[in-house]
Amino acid sequence: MIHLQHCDTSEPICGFSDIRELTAAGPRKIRVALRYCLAQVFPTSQAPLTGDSPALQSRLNFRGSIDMRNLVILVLLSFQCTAQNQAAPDAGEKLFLAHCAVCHGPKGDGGKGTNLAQPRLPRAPDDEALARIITFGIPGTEMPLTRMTPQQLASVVAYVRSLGRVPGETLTGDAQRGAVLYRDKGNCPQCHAIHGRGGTLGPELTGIGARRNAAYLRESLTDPETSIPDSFSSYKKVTLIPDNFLQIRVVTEDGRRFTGARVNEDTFSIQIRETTGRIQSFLKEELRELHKDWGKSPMPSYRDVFSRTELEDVVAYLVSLRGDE
Amino acid sequence: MRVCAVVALLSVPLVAQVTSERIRNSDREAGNWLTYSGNYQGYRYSPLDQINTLNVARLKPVWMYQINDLNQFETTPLVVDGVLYISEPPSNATALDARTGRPLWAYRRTMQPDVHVCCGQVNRGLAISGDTLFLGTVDAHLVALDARTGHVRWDIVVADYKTGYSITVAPLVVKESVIVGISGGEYGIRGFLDAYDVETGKRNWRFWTVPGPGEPGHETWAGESWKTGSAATWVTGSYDPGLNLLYWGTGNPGPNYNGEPREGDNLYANSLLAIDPDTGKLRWHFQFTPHDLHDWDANHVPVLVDATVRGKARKLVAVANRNSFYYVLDRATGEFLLGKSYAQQTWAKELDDRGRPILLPGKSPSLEGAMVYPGLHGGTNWFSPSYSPQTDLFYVAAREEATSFYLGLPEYHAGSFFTAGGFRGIPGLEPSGAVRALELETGTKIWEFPLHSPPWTGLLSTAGGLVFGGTNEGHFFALDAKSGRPLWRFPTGGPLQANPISFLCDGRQLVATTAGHALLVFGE
Repeated sequence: MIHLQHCDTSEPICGFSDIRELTAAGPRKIRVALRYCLAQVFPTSQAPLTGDSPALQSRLNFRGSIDMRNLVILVLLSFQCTAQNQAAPDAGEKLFLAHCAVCHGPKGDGGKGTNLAQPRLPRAPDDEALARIITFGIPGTEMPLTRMTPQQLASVVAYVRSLGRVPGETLTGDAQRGAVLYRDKGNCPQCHAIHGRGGTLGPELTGIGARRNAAYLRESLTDPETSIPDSFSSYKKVTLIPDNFLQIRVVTEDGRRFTGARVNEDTFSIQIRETTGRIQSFLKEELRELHKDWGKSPMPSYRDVFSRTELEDVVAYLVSLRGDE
Repeated sequence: MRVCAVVALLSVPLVAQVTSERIRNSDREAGNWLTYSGNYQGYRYSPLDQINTLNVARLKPVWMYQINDLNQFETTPLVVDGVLYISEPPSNATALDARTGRPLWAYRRTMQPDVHVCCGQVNRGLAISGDTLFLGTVDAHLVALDARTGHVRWDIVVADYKTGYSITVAPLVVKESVIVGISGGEYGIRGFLDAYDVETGKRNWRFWTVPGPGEPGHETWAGESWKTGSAATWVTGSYDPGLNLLYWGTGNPGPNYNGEPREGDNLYANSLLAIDPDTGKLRWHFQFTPHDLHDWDANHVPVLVDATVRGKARKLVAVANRNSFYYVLDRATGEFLLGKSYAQQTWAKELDDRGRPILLPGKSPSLEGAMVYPGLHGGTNWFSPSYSPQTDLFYVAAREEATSFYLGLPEYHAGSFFTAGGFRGIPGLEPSGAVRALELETGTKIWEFPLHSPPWTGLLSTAGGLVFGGTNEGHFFALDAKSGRPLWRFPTGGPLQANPISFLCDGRQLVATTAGHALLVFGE
């Protein structure tokens, strides 16, 4: 029997419920466990988890060799203890990179998704609320549900909390000057609304600063087509209303042409909003042509409209828009 | 006096005796709908033709019945002599007057708060034998109800719901047995298929879909992985009275996305099983997706058709599988005859001459995510296909949707999710769907009707030359069965996640489907 100091061997070990189950396990299961523990201890190295190295396999194919088997168990235990001592956020970071980083950024400071690197998360005031959001998603938004074991969930929650202890990007712009530029020089309210006042051609911006980070907003101003919102992914089993502002061009049977942003669509019909704000509804069977301009945005680039300083002011203003937070 | 049901005289029993013989001859009583798929062969085809390609445009709502539960309403009603018997989520049952939609009785089950169901506390329908109805429950009981009143005749435990077992499937009555499958493939259950005596609820047999030590197939599971091997049986099977064989599909192996703890083919996950309904003995099996890593359950209604393939008359079973391939097998022997993709797939180079997929590299779940067609929800899913003897076409509601598959840790805790990974939609890639008509013997696509988003509802074909289907956006529609041309539609205002049926009331043909949280009945 193996004994290790400073290590709780009654805890789950590398997928086994405790040390007794581990020592009773067969070679294949131990091999699997070893790979997971390697990945847990060295989160940046994915090779042990995804690679199926023949050398590793043959080394662990210890057919009846008790010494080799005990050695592997010892290695597993030491990994486990290392993992225990490193505390949960390590596993949490790995899970975060796999599941969350695509929207929330590798450092959790946002992008397409909310900036999580802040001390207070408006929708998740405590760990329980955060766990609930991860488990069930946020209905009506792009935030999907993610199923995890209780341990995995706890480690992701701990990791997300640790992000808030890191200082965020320092903004150089002046939000008050930005508000004026937004209204006058940028003429942004023609297309965007804040608190229900303004245009309808682009996304509502009331809470944009809570959802997108500064870098994302800066890029949206200079290169609007880099990232266009979408809402139809499979995690939304039933899409009531798509909010991706897809640009549509149609030609009716009698030759009339219309363009606008998609408001809704089903198998038989499509509704668009023209630049005038008027809604046009078409039955597809009455259309001669229907074009969907994926990746296109009617928003102009503000690269040459705003000076560098002005751009930072507008970014600072947008970041300050926190909705009902 | 016009009456829809046989209820004019109090001395006449409300419910006629539904025997296995009557279900076997369901085509002789087209006005009823006696079993989940309409007949034992899994056709979901109505021999009624009052509503047809010429008059379907005049179809309009006759009545609606609304439920008081927010889970998906997936029931297929049974219709027996003027009464509709429906299940409601989570595990309730109601009898409705076919003329008016007025309830005649209601069975309401108190549900435990700690019931585990992966994807909604749903139920897909009832089975009937004599004047007894059978309801599976999400707390994994099987309940026999008096079809006259809804009173409980017996209520037995099928499995321990606390470890993740549940029942969502519509049971199937075969002779004196009620066959019931199990759900829980996301919780690391050990799957099975059960048969119970219709009178007493005594179990006649249990077939474990994950073989135990010493049983054939056990060697396809590494170590102890068979204990959490899943292979659930959550969609109603079909039955061939001539061969006396039951055909039933099985679901994903557990854990879903991480195959490392369960090296091997993982029989009988993702398979079609041919089982003797008298003994529960396996006659043959065919595994569509060996060692599945993408949750591609083979939980589909198998369609049993006799036809000539490559010059030889055969008894066939056809399946449009979640893995995006359409399969035709010899249903007497399980011999693989044909496999052809009916929806986009990027995971298999092809099927070999025994039907085993030749895998493409880079499609296994990974930490970074591997994008695959079909996605998690498959090229189709639990909702029913339809076969029309009139057109000899196999109709399938197909899904065109990719997802990224992620790898996670395989940690088992009884009653907890045991999927070891996850999935994501692909940003910027709008999924879609289609109703497709396939030539039964060859899988050749004859026509398709495109759908805006991937469907969650099954199909009904009729002798009126129609195919009924539905959309997530809420349309119930009818297509020309020969051409796929849309002939009629009705916007219900709620997503369709069910399977339509057709029946007679007062000699008038009606069509029913659920949509949102309502059952809708249409007539000309």
